[in-house]
Amino acid sequence: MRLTSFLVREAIVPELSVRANGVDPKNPQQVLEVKTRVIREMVEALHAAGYFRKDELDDIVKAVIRREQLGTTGIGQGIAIPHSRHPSVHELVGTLALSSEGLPFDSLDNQPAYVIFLLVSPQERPGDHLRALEAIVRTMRDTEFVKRLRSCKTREEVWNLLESTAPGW
Amino acid sequence: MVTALHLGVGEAKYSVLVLERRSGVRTGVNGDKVDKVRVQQCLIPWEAEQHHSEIQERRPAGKGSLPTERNMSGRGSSNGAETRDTLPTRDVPATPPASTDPSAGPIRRVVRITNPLGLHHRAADRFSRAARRFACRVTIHNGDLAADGKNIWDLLGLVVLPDQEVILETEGPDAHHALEELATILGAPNGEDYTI
Repeated sequence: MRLTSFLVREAIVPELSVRANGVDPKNPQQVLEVKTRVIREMVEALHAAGYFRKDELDDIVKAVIRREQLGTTGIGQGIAIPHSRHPSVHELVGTLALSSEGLPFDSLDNQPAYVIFLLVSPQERPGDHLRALEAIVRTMRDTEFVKRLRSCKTREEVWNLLESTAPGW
Repeated sequence: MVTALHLGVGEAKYSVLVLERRSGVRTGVNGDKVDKVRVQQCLIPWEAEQHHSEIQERRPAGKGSLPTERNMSGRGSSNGAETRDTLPTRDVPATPPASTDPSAGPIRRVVRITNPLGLHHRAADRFSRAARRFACRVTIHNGDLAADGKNIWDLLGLVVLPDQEVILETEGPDAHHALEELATILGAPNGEDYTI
């Protein structure tokens, strides 16, 4: 699976508006608030791209946060993959957001997240979700690729870079 | 194909000898070289097993076969997880395990993933955290792919689907303890909320 097969081009956020000035990365409540703002911005980007009904947005944000509270999706090396299953989608959909400053995400290596993937999956398609996770970790293992990704300034730059990745599974 | 696995039940030691022909007929422990049989469990006293320590097995290479050719031993599952011990990958004398000997080869167990979401992020995170508590090396094999069980990035790269079987392998001083505990974690659904 390619990243571009489930990420929505029009929903890519090349620079998140969320900032974490004054946030204590060891304060769970403050970190959760940052996560919530990040996830909301990404969910709204998907909505602006034509996904989800407006009255579903709050519920999707809550579902992703609820999942996040079960265990962080900040997998380290500057990458986070917040995700959830939700009945509003019939196929896997996702987006990608960048933060040049980095955001506290309770990551496994205690480092900020700079590249954030949001995945929303249907209830009964675990295989697609697993393949999407594989595509993300496979691509993000390439530190040179991540460096280039983080330097992208526009949606088009991000998309063109993602299209250069290998298909994988 | 035959394997000799070892476990203790109370103060008694047993070997788990497992023989089944492709025809479905189980063989006894007769010391002959046996081909084309699959693993099933049957307990025999430890002493009896010693007479048949020359039993050997061969397993065809290819996708889905065990990925290395090293000596191994294993133990029967003592938990409720969907697991079964697996076979050596080459001709290996059946010898008792040396659980405290870090120079002993890896031990392996086939584990069926009963989690309806497969080895997803949370399950992989839970497993890798548990694996890091052990000193031994922990590897999960999914077909031709192998992952460091202590590394969530590796585990997410395996794409282990629901009801799929993987091979859990441990090697090192606490390998037997790790195999028991990690097989349970890997094979059990854990009652999590699958709607999230």
